[in-house]
Amino acid sequence: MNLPLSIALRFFRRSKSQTILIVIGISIGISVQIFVGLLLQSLQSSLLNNFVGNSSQITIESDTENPYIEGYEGIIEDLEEFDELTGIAAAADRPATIQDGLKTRNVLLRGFNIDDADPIYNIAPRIYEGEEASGDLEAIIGKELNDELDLDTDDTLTIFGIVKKGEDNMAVNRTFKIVGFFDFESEGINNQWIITTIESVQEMFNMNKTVTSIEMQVEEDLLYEADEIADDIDKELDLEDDGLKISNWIDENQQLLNGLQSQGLSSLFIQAFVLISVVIGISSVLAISVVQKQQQLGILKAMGITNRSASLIFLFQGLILGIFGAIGGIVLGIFFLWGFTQASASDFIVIQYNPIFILASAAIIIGSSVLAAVSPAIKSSKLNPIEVIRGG
Amino acid sequence: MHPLYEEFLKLLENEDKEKCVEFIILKLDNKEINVPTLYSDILEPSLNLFYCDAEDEKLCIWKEHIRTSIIGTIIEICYPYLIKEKKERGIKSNQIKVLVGCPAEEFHDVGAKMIADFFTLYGFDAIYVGANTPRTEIRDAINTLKPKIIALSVTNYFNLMEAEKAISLIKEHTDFDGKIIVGGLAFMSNPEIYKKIGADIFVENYKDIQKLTGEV
Amino acid sequence: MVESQIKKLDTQEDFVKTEKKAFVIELKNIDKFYYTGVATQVLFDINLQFRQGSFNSIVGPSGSGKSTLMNLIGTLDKPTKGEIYIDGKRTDKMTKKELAELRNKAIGFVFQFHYLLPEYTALENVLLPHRISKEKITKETKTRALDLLTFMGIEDVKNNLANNMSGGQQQRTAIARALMNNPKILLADEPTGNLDTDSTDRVYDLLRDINEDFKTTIIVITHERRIAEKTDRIIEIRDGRIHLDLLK
Repeated sequence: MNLPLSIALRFFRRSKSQTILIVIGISIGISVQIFVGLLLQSLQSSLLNNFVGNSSQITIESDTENPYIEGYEGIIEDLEEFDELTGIAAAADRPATIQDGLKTRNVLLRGFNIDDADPIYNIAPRIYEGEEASGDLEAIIGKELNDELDLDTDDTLTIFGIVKKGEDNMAVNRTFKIVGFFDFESEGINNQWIITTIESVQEMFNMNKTVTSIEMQVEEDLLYEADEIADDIDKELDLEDDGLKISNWIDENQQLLNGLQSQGLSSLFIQAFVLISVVIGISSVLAISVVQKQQQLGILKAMGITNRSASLIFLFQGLILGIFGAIGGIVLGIFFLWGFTQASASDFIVIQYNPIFILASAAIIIGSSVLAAVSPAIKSSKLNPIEVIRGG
Repeated sequence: MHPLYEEFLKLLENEDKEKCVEFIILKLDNKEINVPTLYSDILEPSLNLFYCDAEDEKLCIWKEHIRTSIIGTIIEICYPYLIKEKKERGIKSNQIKVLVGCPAEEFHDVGAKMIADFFTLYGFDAIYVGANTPRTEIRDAINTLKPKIIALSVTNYFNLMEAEKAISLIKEHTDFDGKIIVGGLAFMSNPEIYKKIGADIFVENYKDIQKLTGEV
Repeated sequence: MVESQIKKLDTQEDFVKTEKKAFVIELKNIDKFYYTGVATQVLFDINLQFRQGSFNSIVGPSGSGKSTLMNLIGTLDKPTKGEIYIDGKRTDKMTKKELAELRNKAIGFVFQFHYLLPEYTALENVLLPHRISKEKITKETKTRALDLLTFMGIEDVKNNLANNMSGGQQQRTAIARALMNNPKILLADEPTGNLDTDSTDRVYDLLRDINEDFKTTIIVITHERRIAEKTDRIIEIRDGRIHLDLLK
């Protein structure tokens, strides 16, 4: 084995209890960092998911009294030029009612092109029974709504709507075949949405080839740039001229966003301070170790060990403390998180054990530990053997 | 080499004290040898030879001690012969006091004893202060006895350092203004060192002392 | 006939070689100052040569500069003025790395306070100089280390950590370690200063044997008469100068 590494390990082994205590100390520090980091990350992504994860992040709607967007396919073609967008779907939405015995319930009939809408709303995996609505007059309904209606697949449901014809409003209805049931984990959506094909809505409400909105989702890491992307789209497509307006989730959820951002910042602060104290801890422990081991270093130098090797001993010690601290910290941190989820009643937060975050943390910790060892290493390199040897 | 040397060495190697002493007395009585010749040609070389030649030091020391003891006895016995010889040679006392000794830690005193006897033979008033004499004792003896010559014998070369200290003490703390003579085995490898340790004269053997009598 | 002639030639060549390289250590006009606020001169114009295979002692009162002299010879310190040659190579101009290698290969150190690495066993301590030289530990090196421990009479404690050995055993381990890379020079600074009389005698006998068997040049700082008087040369340092330089 490399001699400085072997000496580093022997120095640790020699003072076993001291070394174990240091590693435990570092591990606890790191575990706090991992715990706080992962918890807040999960909290953020849970919040985001709930609010914007499976919904339209950028939406084009009519800016006039006429809610219908004509020539939407051309717009979609233009939008496809934007690489930032991961999903583009036209939607034909109309308010409607259904009869539940004697009760009338308000619903939102949403016509999607299923293939386009799936990337945004992630519908398919949320269907817990049946399948997606793909044919004319096929529809799927939400869990809570069906709790009331108590339908099975292949049952039918009549939906009532109003179509404007000149100055008059005209009632229309269609009978849809229910082909599946979805659960968006949101009571509002589950109660109100009835999802069908775009063509079914267009036909029922006599919309010709128009839609009511074009919905988009952006790449995950550009989520916070949705406002800028929306602005770009606005400029590029001259939406105003067509009587259209564009909105984005950021402008509409400013408060949530501020909350999330300050939360993220405070989490970073906590992590940084934990890391700094861990680094200071390692550095001072190693600095003391240099003094404790100066006799050994003196004799090693007399025996001809180079200054480089003498400093490597402590860089290795930093590295070893970092590696064990990181492993211990990650194990402990994950254990704390597990305990936290066991103890907390809410299943609002889904803890994500983000491997990239964990690995990055480990790398930063190990790197910082080596950095923490630089000053002790320099001290070791500069140590003059005669002072030690004469000192007795 | 003296014709009696080989014969004596054989007896000495057998560590037979009785035969050794008998042998020497016989030779002295028969006037086959006189005291100075006995010292310089027989006793001194046999001692030095043994002191130097030993391969195994540990074995050497106890043998050396037996030999030294035998030679010590012979030297004591020689004293009456020495007086007799002095008278026969008609040597008169020159009233010059010579202090002879060994520095601290120097236990090899046979050489010093022989030197004292040489000085006696040549008419000096030789005072032998003994082996292992601390330098302060040497100083006190000088202040009391006021010798004109000081002779220090050093066998173990480590004691050259002590001899040096003794000499510098003598020079600083007594009003001694005579000659300091040094000799002994320690100087054999360091013939020039006597100057460094502050001595005036280095004597290698009794003939040197004989020469001295004219000088002092 | 021819063989004996060759032999003769060999020895003549050897003789020439040893004459050339007669001095394994040479110090020329060495001055050494320490600067602690004021400049203090600790060594004054030291000129010394040591012959290959000689057994020397340096004596002198504490503070006389003998340890400084030893550190200069051992290349742990540099002279303020003057030249130092080890095995014909000038050391006072070498880089730190060159010095480290020289110390590793050519010089063995033994100190008063044993200074074994307590983290390692006796055998591992003895192997350290070899490991520092970055050469592989072969069966031969291990055998050599064991032989040295046997030579020192401490093969029984080869797997003991330093704390589980007596002072004498520790010091003998330290000497074995100093000899591991077969250095030309063994420097010992008060090697028996912390040992009882019996251990002192043992260590001295070992140094003597090393000098005779391995022809290692030995310089030992000591205040102990029993050691100094048995070396071949005593150098007395006083007030930073060579006061006496005595040969046995």
